[in-house]
Parts: sequence; structure tokens; C-alpha cells
Amino acid sequence: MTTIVHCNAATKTYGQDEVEVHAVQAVTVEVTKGEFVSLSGPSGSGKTTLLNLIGGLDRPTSGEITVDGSRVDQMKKADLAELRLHKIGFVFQAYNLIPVLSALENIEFIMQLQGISPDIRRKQALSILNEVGLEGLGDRRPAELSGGQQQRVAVARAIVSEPAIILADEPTANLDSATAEELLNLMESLNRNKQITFIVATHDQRVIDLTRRRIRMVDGRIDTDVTEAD
Amino acid sequence: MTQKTLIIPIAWRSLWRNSRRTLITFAAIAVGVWSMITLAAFMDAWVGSVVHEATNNLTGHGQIHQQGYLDDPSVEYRFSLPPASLDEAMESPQIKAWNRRVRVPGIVRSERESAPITLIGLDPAREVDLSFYGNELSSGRQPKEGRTAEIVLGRRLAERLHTRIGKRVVILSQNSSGEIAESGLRVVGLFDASLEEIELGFVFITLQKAQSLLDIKDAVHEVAFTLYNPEEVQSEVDRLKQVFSDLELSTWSDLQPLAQTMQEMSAAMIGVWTVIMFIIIAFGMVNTLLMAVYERTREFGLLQALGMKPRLILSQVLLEAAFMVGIGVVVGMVISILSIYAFTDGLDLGPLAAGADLFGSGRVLYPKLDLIIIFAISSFVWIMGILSCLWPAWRAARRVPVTTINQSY
Repeated sequence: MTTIVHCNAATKTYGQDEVEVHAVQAVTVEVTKGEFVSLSGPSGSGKTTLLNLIGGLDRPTSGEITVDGSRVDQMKKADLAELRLHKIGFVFQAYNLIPVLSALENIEFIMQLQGISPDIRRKQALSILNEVGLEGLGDRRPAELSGGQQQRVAVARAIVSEPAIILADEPTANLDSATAEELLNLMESLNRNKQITFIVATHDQRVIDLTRRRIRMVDGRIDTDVTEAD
Repeated sequence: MTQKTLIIPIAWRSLWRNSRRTLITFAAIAVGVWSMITLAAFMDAWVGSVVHEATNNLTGHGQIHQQGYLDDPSVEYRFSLPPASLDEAMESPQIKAWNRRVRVPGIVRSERESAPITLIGLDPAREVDLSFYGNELSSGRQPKEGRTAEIVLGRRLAERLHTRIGKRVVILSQNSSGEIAESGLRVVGLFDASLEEIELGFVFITLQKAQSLLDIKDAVHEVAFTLYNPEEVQSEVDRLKQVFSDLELSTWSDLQPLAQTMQEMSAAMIGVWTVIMFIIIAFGMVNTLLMAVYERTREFGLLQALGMKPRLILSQVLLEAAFMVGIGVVVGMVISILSIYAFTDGLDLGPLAAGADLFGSGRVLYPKLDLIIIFAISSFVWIMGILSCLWPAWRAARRVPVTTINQSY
């Protein structure tokens, strides 16, 4: 099995001296290709921080983090941007689409950064748009889409360049239950059919139930790490 | 290439997120550019008028005098040159027109009034392209050639003396022996001048009559000349200095220091105004972009999270600035061109003319469309406007994704 993510004693501490907050404490974990992992735990348990460390959005105070063979903790800012561009897809709680671009342009955005030619990226973006059930809505700006539709665009944007891993932070938090259900089915099908690796930080029990590997964090440490047998 | 074209639609569309703010910024830049270009055109017209008045009112672009004449313009500081040597020296491809003049202080007296004047003896035909006196008189005619007892007065001087064409006046001046020379002359013509002091202060007779009156044989007090290209006056004066080493050679700026000062002041004023306006524009620009960057903090974090490199984010914000300043500059340029074009036939200073007269300017200003000035000011504002936005752009580019992406507002 190919290792996609490897954290070795990853630690993240905020603040200094007497007001230090240990958000992530010596976490060691390995995620292999095709896994669907949930990171759960109470608020402040460190799941979002761990996700940010893996995604290179934040740097660990100590420890090592490797994503698809690259040492994230040692990379320069520009190299991290390059790594995120080619190997990591993000889905955020607040959708985080670029408001001045249409749904289709948002999906194309990553490919455009990657330097893919217009014809290919347009074809690929349209195909993904259909795949996430947004056929015919490509010209709409984010403000003209519902929350669920925006999150689908965000998922489409995350998977369009076929990254090594998708990191999702509370993807269903702002969605009603029906829309959340649809999104989960979409993610599950992408994981199953395309072998895309997902790590999802969530409070949502439906998401946790859907994943085959469930990591629970408490006080910045891994409390339990359970993998469901197929 | 693809990455660079990516930021164009984002930058352009971002401009219109807050269209009211963007339009106000456009307007501020346009008004600033308009004021800079228009001020430059009108200051240039003002200085052009001052210089034109200074050179056209008998000064020319340069003059030759006896040493000491400029300090004491009396009959004794005259000079005499063999006509052939003067003709040879003034036979230059640079020189457009030149003339010899007798020029001394005197008094003119009519039957009822008298007034101090400058008596000028010259050949009027040679004043064409040299001074306003080469133009047609407003009424009457020029004195006949030779030692004719005829005189031309300024219209306002004639009014002050209560005289008119056909009447006689008496001229008094000091002759070469230091005695009072006096001659009765018939008024045959009246001239108008743009400056009141010229109309009131100068009277014209023939060169021969003046030489005879003052008993100075073929001597003169000045030789004035104009050039095809006024910019070359210094080199021409330097050349003539070699020929007439005993005489004093002067450029128009030596003879009319006020005009020269006005020219320098105008350049300084345009420079100061440009800097002031630019500072105001720059503050507006930086404020607008800082607000835009602040409002889009999370977005810049998102762009970085998605893999956009900081330098591309910097380029995007600078491109927004380039669009913003560029449109403002183009609008300002168009308004300026229309404003200046509307006055190319002349701006009559009307009630301000008397004040303008004090500074040696004509009553009508003729602003010109100087494309080099328009292009220079516009480019300066555009480039400096973009550079002034480096700070907000840098702030946008250095956002750390994790601190901004989860930020809510």
C-alpha cells in the first residue's frame, strides 16, 4: 500500500511561555492511498490544526510531516504552494469559492494554475461539473448558487486535478441534512470509484459512520484510531 | 502564460465588486490627471504669451548694444559699423530677421500735453518677423523714407496727448553734443500694442530722421534679431560675440529677466502641482486597495491554499492597480484634451487682462495640445500609481493561509 501521509511526532504549539496551547501533541499517523479517514473529536481537540499541518497551511512546531514523499515541514512557502497545487485538494467548511469567477471557472482555476491548456481544462471541468450534479450551472457565480451547490463546486475543484489526497474540514457543517447526505454520497463514490484519498475533519456522526477509518482526537492527541474491516 | 492570463479576469472583475468605490477612485484619478495636464497647458500658454510679448515688443531673440547702453540707454552709448560687415555677420541661416535701431529717451509734446517716451528710429520694413511694429498700423501709414518729419504714435499715447493723425507734435531729446534736440513732426500713423506700456511709451520715426535729429551720423543704439529656432539663441549670441567683441551681446532672457523668471517659475509650479496631485491620488489609491485587500483577506489565503504562489497574488493586486489607475488616467487624458481643444482658439482673460498685463502676458492665452506633455504626465501617474500600490499588494501576498482561510467576517 502506498503511503500518502506520514506524520511522525507532529506537534503544534501556539503562544509562548505561560500561555502555550498545545493544539497537536506528538501525533504519529500514517494514511495510505484510497483510505477514507475521519478526524473527529470535541472542539479544540486539534483536528483542524492537524489537517492544516498535513495540507501545508501551517507549520509544525516539531516533528515530521510527509505528503506523497515530500517533507511538508521543511518546504519553503513557494514550494508549499506548488505541493498544494499538484497534490492536495481542499474542501472547506465555508465553501471558499472565488466570488468573481463562475462555477466552471472556479473548477478550472486549479488546472489553469497548473498550466493545462484551455481546451483540455474546459472539457475536464465540464465533465466534473456533471459528475457532481451541477450540469447547466457552470456560468453561475458562487453568490447565485445554494450552499450545497457551492460545496459541490468546491469538491469538484478539489478533485478535478486528481490530487494525491483531499483534505476536507467540516464539509457538511453549513449544509442541511439532505444536501449533506448528497455530498457524502458524492465523496464516498469518488473515494470508492476513483481511489481518491480523503481525510475529513468533522463533528458530523453521519460522516464518521461513512468512513472506514475513524481517528478520534482529544487534547491534541490521537485517542482512538479504528479501521473498519471490509 | 496560462498562469499570468489567469489573474487578468480576477483582477478586472475584482475592480467591480464595489463599483461605487471604484468609480469614485476613477473620478479622483481622472480629475487629478486633468488638473495636471490642463494646468501644464495653460501655464505653458501663459509663459508662451509672456515670452512672445517680451520678444515681440521690440526685444527680439537677441540684441547688440554698445557696452554700457543697457545700464544707461542714452545717446552717447551708440556704435557705428560698416554696413558690409554688419550684413555679413547677420547673414546666418539661423537668423530670421534683424534691424538697426536708434533708441533714446525723450519727450513728446502736443499742443496740450506732454509725455515721456522712448524715441525709436528704424526702417519699418525690416521689422517684419522681428517685432509687432512689422505688422500693419491700426490707422494711418508709416513715415516716408528719408529724413521725413513724420511720426507714428501709440493709439493710447495719442489719446493722452489729445492729438490725432494729421496734427503736429514736438519731440525733444538729447543730441550727441549733449544739447537738447528738438523737432516738429506730423503724426501720420497710430499703432496698437498688446501691452499698454508699449502704446504709451514708444514713438517711431525713420532711422535717418532719428540719426539726423540726434546728430549721430550713421550710428545706431541697437541691432535686434530673431531666429528661426529660439532655442539656439545662446549659440548664435556666442557666435556674434566672436565677431563683435567690443560690443555687448544679449539674449532675450538677459533683456527680459521677468519673462525668464516666469518661465522657470511655471516649470517649478507645474512640477510642484504634479507632485501634490500625485500624492493625493496615491493616498486615494493606496486607501482603496488596502480596503480591497482587507476585505478579501480570506480570499487571498484561499488562493494561496489552492496553490497560487505569493508573487502571482502580488501581480494580481498590482494588475488591479494598473487597471484602476489606467482607466482613471485615460479618462483624465480625454477630458484634458477636450478642455484644451476647447480653448485652442484662445482664452480671453477678460477682466483679468489688466492683472495679466502686469506680468507681461497678453490678453489672450493659446493653450496647445502638447502630446509629449500629456503622455509624460499620464505615464508618470500610471507608473507611480502602480508603484504606490506595492505595499497593499505585498500585504496581500504575505497572508499566511491558515490565519486567513478560517477567518470569518
